[in-house]
Amino acid sequence: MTTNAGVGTSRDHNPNIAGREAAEQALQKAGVDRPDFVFMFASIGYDQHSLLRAVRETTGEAPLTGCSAEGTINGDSTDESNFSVLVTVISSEELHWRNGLESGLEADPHAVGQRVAQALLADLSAETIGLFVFPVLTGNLQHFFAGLEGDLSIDRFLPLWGGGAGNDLVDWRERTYQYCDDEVITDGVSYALLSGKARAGWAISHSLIPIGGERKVTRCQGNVIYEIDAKPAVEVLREYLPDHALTDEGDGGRSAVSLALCSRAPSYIKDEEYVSLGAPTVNLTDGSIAVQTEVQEGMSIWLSSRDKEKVSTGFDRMAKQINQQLGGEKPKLLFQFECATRGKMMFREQEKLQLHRRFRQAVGPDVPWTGFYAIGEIGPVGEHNHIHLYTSVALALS
Amino acid sequence: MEGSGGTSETQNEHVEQRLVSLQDENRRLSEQIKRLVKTEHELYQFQEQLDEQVRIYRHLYEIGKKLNATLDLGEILQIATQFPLYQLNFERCVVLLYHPEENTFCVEAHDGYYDEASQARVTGLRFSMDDPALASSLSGSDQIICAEGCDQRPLLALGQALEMDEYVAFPLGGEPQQPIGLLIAGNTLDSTVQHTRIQADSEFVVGLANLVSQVATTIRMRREIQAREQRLKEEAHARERIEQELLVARRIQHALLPKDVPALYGWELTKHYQPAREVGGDFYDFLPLSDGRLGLVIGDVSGKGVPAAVLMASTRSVLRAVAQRALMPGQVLADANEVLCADVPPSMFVTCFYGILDPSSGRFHYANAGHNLPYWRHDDLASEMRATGMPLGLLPGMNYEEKEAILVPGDAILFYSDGLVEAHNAEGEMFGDRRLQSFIADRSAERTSLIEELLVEIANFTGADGEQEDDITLVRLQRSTI
Repeated sequence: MTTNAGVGTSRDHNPNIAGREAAEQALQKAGVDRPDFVFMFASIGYDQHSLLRAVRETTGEAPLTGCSAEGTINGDSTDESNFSVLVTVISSEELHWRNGLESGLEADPHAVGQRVAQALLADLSAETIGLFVFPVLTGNLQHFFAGLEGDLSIDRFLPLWGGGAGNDLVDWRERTYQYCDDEVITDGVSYALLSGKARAGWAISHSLIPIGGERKVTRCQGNVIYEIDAKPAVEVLREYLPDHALTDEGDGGRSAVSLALCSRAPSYIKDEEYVSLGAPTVNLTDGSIAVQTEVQEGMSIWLSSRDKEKVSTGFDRMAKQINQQLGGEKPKLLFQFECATRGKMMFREQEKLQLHRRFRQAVGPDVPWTGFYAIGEIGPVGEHNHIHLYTSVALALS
Repeated sequence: MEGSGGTSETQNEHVEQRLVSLQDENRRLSEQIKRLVKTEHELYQFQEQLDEQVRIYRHLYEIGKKLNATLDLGEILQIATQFPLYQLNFERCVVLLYHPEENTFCVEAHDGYYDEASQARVTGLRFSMDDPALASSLSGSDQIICAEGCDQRPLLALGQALEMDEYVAFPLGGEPQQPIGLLIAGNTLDSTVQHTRIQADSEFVVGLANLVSQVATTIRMRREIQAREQRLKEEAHARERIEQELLVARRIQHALLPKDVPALYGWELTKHYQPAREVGGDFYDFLPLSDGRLGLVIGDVSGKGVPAAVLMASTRSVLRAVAQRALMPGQVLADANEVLCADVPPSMFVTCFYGILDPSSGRFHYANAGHNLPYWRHDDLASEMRATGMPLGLLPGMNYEEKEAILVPGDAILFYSDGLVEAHNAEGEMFGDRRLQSFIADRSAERTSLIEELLVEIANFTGADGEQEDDITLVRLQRSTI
């Protein structure tokens, strides 16, 4: 009973070469010719269809799931250029996969969640380990979770792991892609149900600390905040940003992402006092900001900023938690879903690599390690599936 | 109560003051935090720019090392086209090189994704020198930028040909208006979101200019080195050809020189021939005459190599022919001169000493056509055997003085070529006639090892590192004392 996994990468700008190169490398590292399952994460600089075709041809049409990414994470090496593809191949007698794809997530996340649940019902069993999801990040992904979990008819908690498909973050609302076998879509969710005999250990760490005092949302609708403390929401952000930062919407998005809006963490989150509502997306026309979570008037919020020390200690804690959960077993594969704001937007290249190296060393320096920079990270806290922001989610399978 | 009320009011006032003070402090702290966050934000951006510049220059340094390590044009151009894509994040890069024989610029390398049809088309692109699309790039400017919104038709035409909606073009080295090539990097408008936009003076365009300079230097150096290699190869071929000719000349010469000396009762005849690296024109010959006498020839053809070898062969044949007809050496040389004058190329000539020995009487008649004077050792003296005459082949109608010597038992004659007396030592001094004369005088005529001793003497004189400059030919005729 063995599980072999291999991770391959390419930076070639030609999608045909890059896809083939990354897949060949992954197959070689796994020591297999025909994998049972393939994960693919790729930058959006590529022609996505050509890239996928090249990977599929090389991996012998093995079932595939994945999404576009702001950057790729291959062990302790990361790439946040617009041309990087990461292919992970898995061959296992003890793991079973069932993948799928649903579109229309932005229009009706709840219905999409229900459809995914319906598609998976026949495959759920006592051996089900969890579900990987790679959605486009919508205004409120919790509706997707609600739709999914409500229709699963399962007597136990089904953990969800994954990340929101990414792009180059020039404007994170721009198109992202979700992959399933030969298909590429832009407004949906790709998923893969994992069943079999494996132990899963996962951990989440945050990076935000509040700056300034408590503020109140005084006017809002859905996930759009118009006023904070009776002032236009954008004006509140301006207090913390250089004068030139919010001169146009494009740059505004990039500048505003250095700030985040937090609310008090729900009671089931023990490690954190605050959780992020999202990176603000500014609308200079009406002075509003949008976040990735629905808000209510009167809600207490805190402006917050990323903290390097917190990221660093967070990785240490994650390594410890994963090792404990696996009971000392060496992982056969590790997934890391890292917030795109915790990459080059926060760290200098060497700083970033050192952090990843330390994390990897603490979990297992030679463990096949795959992941990507996401827009929204998905991982359960207790028995609550949650979309996190400004976090790192890691899942190890042994 | 009043007192208590007063105390309470005082406490309230104190609390309010404290509250106001704390609110002030909170406001100040809040403002400080805002300033800090703003500064941090600006620092992030500044640091990002700096890191980007450092990254580009670090890669340029690495590229410099790679370029210095190769002369392979394909590899150089691969490095040149990869850098704009993988370090500067442009979508496409094309290098055109100038082909003077066709007066065209051809696509020599490209990188970046083109679909199959486009790739085939771009790979085969050729622009004549006067193609309007290249006019701006060949105008002598350091760089040409075709950015979004450009309306100059020639620039747009080049972009269209290379499938770039915006680009920067750099001439590669050479003369300002006749570069050795062009490097063009740019994007299609569809992909600008994922790529570096073309903007004059951006650190990316400056980085590209730096790359172009390095690549142009490498290509120029490569061409110079290749030209030098070609020259060296041609020189080596020429040298090989000359060596081959010299080998032929040497073979001719060796084939014509007598391998054995004739046996004469009461006489000893020894010879030594030591060719220089370059084939000279020394020769010697022994001509048995029909009346029992023996003709002795020693000569030297001017020049070296094949021409000298051919003239030597011809002279030898002529001398052999005329020696059988004429009885006296002067006549032999005069007849030979007449024949040779007709055929010897201008500026070539032959020095030749010819003597006829009557072995029974010891009578030795001789004549000399400008050759080194032999030494006659007689009565412990070494005297020159002087006889006047012009070298053969220079002027027709020449007469050659004849002399006679009677060699008695113990007498010896040393015939030699100029390679012996004109040998130089490390100080540039010649061995010379006087030194040779003394050497012969100082040694008994019976010493059969005279030639060996003389060669040792010469070797000592020129030194171990001294290269033999010319052929050395020695013939010794000795009348035995028995």
